[in-house]
Amino acid sequence: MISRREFLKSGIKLAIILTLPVSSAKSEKYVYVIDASRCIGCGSCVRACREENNVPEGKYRTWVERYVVYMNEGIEEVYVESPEGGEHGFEDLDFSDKEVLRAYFVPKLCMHCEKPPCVKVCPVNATWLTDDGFVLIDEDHCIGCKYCIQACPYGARYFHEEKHVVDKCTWCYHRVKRGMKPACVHVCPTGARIFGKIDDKEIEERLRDPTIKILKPELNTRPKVFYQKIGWEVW
Amino acid sequence: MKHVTRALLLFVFIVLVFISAIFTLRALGEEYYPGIPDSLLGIKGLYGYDRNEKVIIRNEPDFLGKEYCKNCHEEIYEKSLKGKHDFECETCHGAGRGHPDKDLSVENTRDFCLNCHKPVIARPDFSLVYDWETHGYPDKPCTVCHDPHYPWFG
Repeated sequence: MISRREFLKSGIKLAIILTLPVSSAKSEKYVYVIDASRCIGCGSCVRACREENNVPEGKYRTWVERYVVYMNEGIEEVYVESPEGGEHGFEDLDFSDKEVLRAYFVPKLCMHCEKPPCVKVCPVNATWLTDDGFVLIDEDHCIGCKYCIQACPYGARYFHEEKHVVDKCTWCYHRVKRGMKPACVHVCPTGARIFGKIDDKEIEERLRDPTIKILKPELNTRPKVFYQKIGWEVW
Repeated sequence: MKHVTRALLLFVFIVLVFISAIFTLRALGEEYYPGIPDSLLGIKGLYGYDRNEKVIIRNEPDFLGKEYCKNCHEEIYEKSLKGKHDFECETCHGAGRGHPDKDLSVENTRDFCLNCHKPVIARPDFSLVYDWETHGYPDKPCTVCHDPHYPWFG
């Protein structure tokens, strides 16, 4: 006759064995590094993204912003603009009567956070974080409630009016899984955007830069898009 | 002892029937089995099928890379590797999928080149042409003197 103690013991053992394979999933994390000093603001990435992912007019999965920091009566002021998401390039601005301290282009996209606030708020679990670090959306299960658009602190999500779902950058998951680079990285003429696994040689080299930054670190979303050569004013 | 084994066997049997029912329904496809939470079975995603796979299958890549272009335009491919314009062909020409039928020729205008080479504020200076208004023949396209695939003289 099996005693109650032994029965419970073996039951607990069985439960541990059953849960082990689920908890020991291995992962290979991807990261995205942007060097703002190499970005020339040509807008190739924005156009390529639109073509690759059929992004509707007026919506952007990736966009380019221009930051100009200048002195105005002894006070540092920041001018930010992104005409049409930088899709058709940038025109010259007249700052000739002011002292410009620094100016640069900042490409923006979904940060694919390790702790994504958008995934937390989804009421139907239509958006999720994959094992290799991509935040994706399931078009079939999204009900279009737009909670995630409000939750995203980086403004990366938009509402797709035709499909009636929320859409955003996927880091071109379909390309990466076929062994290609994301479309924006692929077309970048200056190598301002690079993408790869966290232990790739080029990525590792760039990540060693002591001035490397992430956006809004105070929110503890742990984004996987890293920026080089940007100022404190990028937000 | 006997009643314990009996109860256990019954329990195991019920579990087996349950699991096999789930697997059979899953094999029928998503339409027959819209999903219950079965992450317990080690299946990815709340709805019991691999949603990552679905994202991959839904989209075909449009941008194919230099090696694809090389199949026919090997001369231009070799030339571009020597010069400063050694980036992807599709940066200027657009997505290559369906190309022989789709026309990929680009605008032969000054404005097209100046999209990258005009000195605007914030643009780093490695690509700039400072005297763009008077450089060369202002009323003619840049390609009169420069080869866009190998932009230096020679």
